[in-house]
Amino acid sequence: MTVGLNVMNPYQLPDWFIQLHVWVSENIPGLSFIDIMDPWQQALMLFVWGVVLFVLISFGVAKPSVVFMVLMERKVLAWVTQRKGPNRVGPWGLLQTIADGVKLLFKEDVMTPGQDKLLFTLGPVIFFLPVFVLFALVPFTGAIAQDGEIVFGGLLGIGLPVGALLLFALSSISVIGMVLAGWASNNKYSLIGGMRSAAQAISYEIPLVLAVLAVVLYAGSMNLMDIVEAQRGPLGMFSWFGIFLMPLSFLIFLISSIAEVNRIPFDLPEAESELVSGYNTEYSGMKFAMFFLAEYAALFVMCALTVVFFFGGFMSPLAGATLGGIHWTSTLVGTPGLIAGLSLASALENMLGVASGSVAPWIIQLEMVSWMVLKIYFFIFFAMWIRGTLPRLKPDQLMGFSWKFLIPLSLLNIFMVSFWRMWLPPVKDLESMVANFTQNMPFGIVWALVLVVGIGGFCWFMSELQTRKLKARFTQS
Amino acid sequence: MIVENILFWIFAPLAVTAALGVVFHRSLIYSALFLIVVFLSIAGVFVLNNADFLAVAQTIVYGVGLTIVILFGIMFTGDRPFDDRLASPGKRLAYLIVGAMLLAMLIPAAVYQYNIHPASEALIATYMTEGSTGLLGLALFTQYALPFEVASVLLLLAMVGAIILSKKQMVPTEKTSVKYALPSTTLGSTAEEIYEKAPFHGHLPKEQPASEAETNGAETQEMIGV
Amino acid sequence: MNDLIQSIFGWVVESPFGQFVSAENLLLLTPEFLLLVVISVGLFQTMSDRLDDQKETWKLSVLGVFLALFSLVSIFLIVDPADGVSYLFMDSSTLMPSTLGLPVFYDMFRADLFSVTVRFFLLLGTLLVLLFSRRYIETRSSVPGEFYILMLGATLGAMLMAGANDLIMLFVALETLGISSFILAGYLRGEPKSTEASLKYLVFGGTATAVLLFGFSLLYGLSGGQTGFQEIVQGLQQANSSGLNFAVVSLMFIMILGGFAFKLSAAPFHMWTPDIYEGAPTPVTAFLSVVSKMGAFAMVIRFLFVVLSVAPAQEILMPLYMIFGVLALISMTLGNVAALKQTTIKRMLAYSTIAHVGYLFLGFLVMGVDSISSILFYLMTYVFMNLGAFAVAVQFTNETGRDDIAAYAGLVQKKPFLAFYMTFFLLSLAGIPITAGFFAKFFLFQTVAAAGSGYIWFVVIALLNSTISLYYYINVIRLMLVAEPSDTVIAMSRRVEFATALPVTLALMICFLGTLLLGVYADPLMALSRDAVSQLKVTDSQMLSQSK
Repeated sequence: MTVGLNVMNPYQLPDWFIQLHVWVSENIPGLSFIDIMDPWQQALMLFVWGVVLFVLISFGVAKPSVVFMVLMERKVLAWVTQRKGPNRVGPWGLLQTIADGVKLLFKEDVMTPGQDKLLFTLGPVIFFLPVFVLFALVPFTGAIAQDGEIVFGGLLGIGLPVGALLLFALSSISVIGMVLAGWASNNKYSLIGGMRSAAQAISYEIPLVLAVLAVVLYAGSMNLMDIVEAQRGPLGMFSWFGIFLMPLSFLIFLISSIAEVNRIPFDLPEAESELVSGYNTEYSGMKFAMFFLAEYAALFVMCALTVVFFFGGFMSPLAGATLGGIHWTSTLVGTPGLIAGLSLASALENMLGVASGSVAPWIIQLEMVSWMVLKIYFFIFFAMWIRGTLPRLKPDQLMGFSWKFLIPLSLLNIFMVSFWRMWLPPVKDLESMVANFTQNMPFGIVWALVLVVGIGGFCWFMSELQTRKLKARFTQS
Repeated sequence: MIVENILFWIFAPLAVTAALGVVFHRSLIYSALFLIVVFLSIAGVFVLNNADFLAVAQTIVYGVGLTIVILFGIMFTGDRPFDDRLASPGKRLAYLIVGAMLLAMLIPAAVYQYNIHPASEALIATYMTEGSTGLLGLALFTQYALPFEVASVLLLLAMVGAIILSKKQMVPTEKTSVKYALPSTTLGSTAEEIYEKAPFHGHLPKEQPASEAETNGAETQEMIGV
Repeated sequence: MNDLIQSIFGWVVESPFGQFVSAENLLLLTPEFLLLVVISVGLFQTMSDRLDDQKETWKLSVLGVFLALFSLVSIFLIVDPADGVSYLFMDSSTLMPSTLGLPVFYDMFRADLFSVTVRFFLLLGTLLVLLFSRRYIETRSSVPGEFYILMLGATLGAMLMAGANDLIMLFVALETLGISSFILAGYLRGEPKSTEASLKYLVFGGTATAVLLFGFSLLYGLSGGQTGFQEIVQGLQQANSSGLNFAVVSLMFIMILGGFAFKLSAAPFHMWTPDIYEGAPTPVTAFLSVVSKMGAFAMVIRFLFVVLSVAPAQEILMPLYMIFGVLALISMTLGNVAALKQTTIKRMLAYSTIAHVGYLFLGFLVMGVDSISSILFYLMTYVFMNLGAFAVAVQFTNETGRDDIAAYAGLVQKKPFLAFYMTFFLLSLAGIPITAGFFAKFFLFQTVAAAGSGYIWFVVIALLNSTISLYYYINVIRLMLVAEPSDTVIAMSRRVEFATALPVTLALMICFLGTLLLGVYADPLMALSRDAVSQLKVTDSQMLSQSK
């Protein structure tokens, strides 16, 4: 972003961070940048803060959660297959991952001759970095406004107008890392793994983006904060349009996101039984750990995005609704467009009879973070459950599924969602919702027709194609 | 302005250096990687010019999508270093002279002060708060609606062409054979004869008789219960 | 008529989408829409692997092009109820174009007389190519369906090029034509030469487009960030008040000219032409040498005439116009001399195309209404005579599988009609009287000579070149009519399959009649092209003051 003279927060850093910056400048003598008159230099300072924030969030949030997720995966898989899982290191095996991490750190970094040393080192780094930057884009909490003033910026690294798109841009960069790792390993299985990953990533990125496009179309913004805000409606959790209005979108996103992070049933790039674990076969020690960390971090981010796009983000299931005489929307909201996905906190206010806004912001933030993390871990569990249940696909099945099924389906989905957008645009109160519903009934009827004809026709078409293909195949041989 | 200038002087020389790397590096893989750097630095320059959507689109489409396909191609065919002997000293001198002349021609264009109207304050404010996406969309659906739609036709044709050029050439079956009677002296009168004798299709596999194929098909249909 | 339009397009205009389009916009682009519909429907048709289904696409394409032609004529025939003059012609009293809304889609496209005329001949050319390409393609490719689709796509691009009034529109249309052509050139994958042609075309074409785009970006900067042609002129005028840099303007001009010269295959940018013309399937070669060329010429004429030959640019670029003359001389000389020693008919026609482009560049050298309109007339005649020659070549290849000149020896003994047609078209290409080629050359050289005494020498050299060209055209004629029959011709059957030869015969008849009629009575089309070109000039200087 270009820095404007009159804008004090050009990088859209959260407010608490600005306050921290001001505090540091005021209280620590050598760092009193606040006195500098030139706003551009202030802006530069803010940029530096932004970088610090990136690092803090990435490693502060990502590392612990990854460590936990590895353990969780092993426990869940053990549970699915009726085993015990790790149970020796620490109580219930809680310290197992830390022990594994220490082991990895001290392992020898093996390099075989014939490997391209630079690319071999660069591969894991390119794979690793973008995933961790992604954490800075996910809104873990919303901003809190009081009388039109933001009192708390929310636990959001950077709120960009192109946030949703930037997510996919960054996550696709890590594919290059995989390809490079596969190439530089000088091992044919690694190379096949890397190339499979490239093909798979390109193929599944399209339905992924198209599924999100439907959400973006309906919410009217690519800013992740705005998307979450758009899901706050009079029906509480039933206003989460991502899942209730466009389940097709959700399904496509779920499938493609699992493919995007290379997990079973789409883990062809690192299939142990056929490729000796693919592009990371030759890696050991710290470099292997980087792949390992990044994969789990990517899973975390993808689940976080599922929540943000389809499950109301950090909002509680009651946010926005009126239930039991309580309007479960915070009265703290001052500015439209800013988030106030509160429920328990406002209920607390109502019960205690205290003036609105007297609940400390950190309590509200804590509630939002809790909802977010809870939902994320539900989807992480879901992914692990799938891993314990489903077999792996063949490469041609994988590609065909994306290009011949998911992509046309997601185009159809976008078409239908645009009807939804006309019929039932996102609104904040029940009256206008009902009014829209009745007023735009013709659109609704057309939509229903499109739904029936579209989905029915598509399914018929696909089955017809499949039948023809089978016929042709058996005819030839 | 300082931040912008600093960032510009990071991105721009990086783009130029990486572009030189694309041309001069002996390894194709490294050339492709330099190409990624070029695209990403240009995306950086886009960001400095308030074109956030363009920057992200550049990263997705060029920075990753396109170069992955290039890398794919290189990995399929193998990374052979360029043979420097291909260009003789005389040729290289000629290239150098032409390049230098082109560069000399470009210098006035580079230093010329173009009279481009600066954006209004309101526009800059919109860019900074809402980003350029909305304005871009509006332009694409009003002023540039026709080129936008024609671009979709262009991409459709390119896609059809790509499929055509990479599709396995099928030999027409007996049932659907070429009906045109060709002079029997040169080629033949039925599809099979044509495909056998014609020089341009000599390498294609011979199609099995249709009758057998049909029986197979019927059996299969029974087998899979269609 | 307007009521009819309203009833046809009314529902679109009343829908939410209607705020972006008007009925006139859709009406004036009806031929393009029809082509688009055919492309879409045809793609569904070609999804089938069965050859019979694929062949249906040909009928659909011919029908689509025919309907598009028909709709174009009906656009031409819409008359103003006030004075009974076609909307597309200027109002005779005010010299203003009528109010039907010539600018289409925010002035991205101009549906004026010039573009309607050019689009008519583009569609006619495509129709002819489709007529004689069927048998050639269907005996050689197992997926002939997409061939027609891509050809229609290329035509769509060329038609949009003819009316493009904006740099972005121009570029997108150019690429639509270009990419379809690259694929068409490599359509016969079994033949290495075809693939080679496709790849060469892609690489050369990409480079040329990059250079062209660089020139466009300089123009964008010079005009203060404008893309519309009229806005560019205005912007240049504003910038000129503070002084335009000659070096930058001429760099812009040279880069754009380089790109254009490549598209038009003017020497020294012609290197790609012979290889690609030889390697590509013969109908594609015909398409490239006529339809593609005509579209490119229309684009260049509009661009040069509207943007670069008006006030600020013209004064600055005046000394550089001599480049056109140099390009013309090199092209015609090189094309004709190289054509002398060619052994295949396709390569010979390729070099002859280069030579013809050389003649046409003389018109740009003068850059007046007369010379540009004679370029347009030349292109109209070129559609008939060149496509006719290619139709014969395609038919000959269909029957014998050969395309070298030696194989044509004694053709008159087996196929007298074919030999006669070929003789006629080659004579026309050489510019012999009572054929269209004569009048085309005559008008062109005459306008150039009339423009000033300095141009006489160019005309003299052009006439000398015409004499050289006569040699290689006559050589083919001599072989066909006089020489002993070659083995190929002896092996040919005398029998004519009526059903399969019908489309080709139809195409040959149209070409023959066109060439003959234009050679006998050229006035109407000459007047039409003069009107079209002069309106281009008037439209763009006066529309501006009218609309702004």
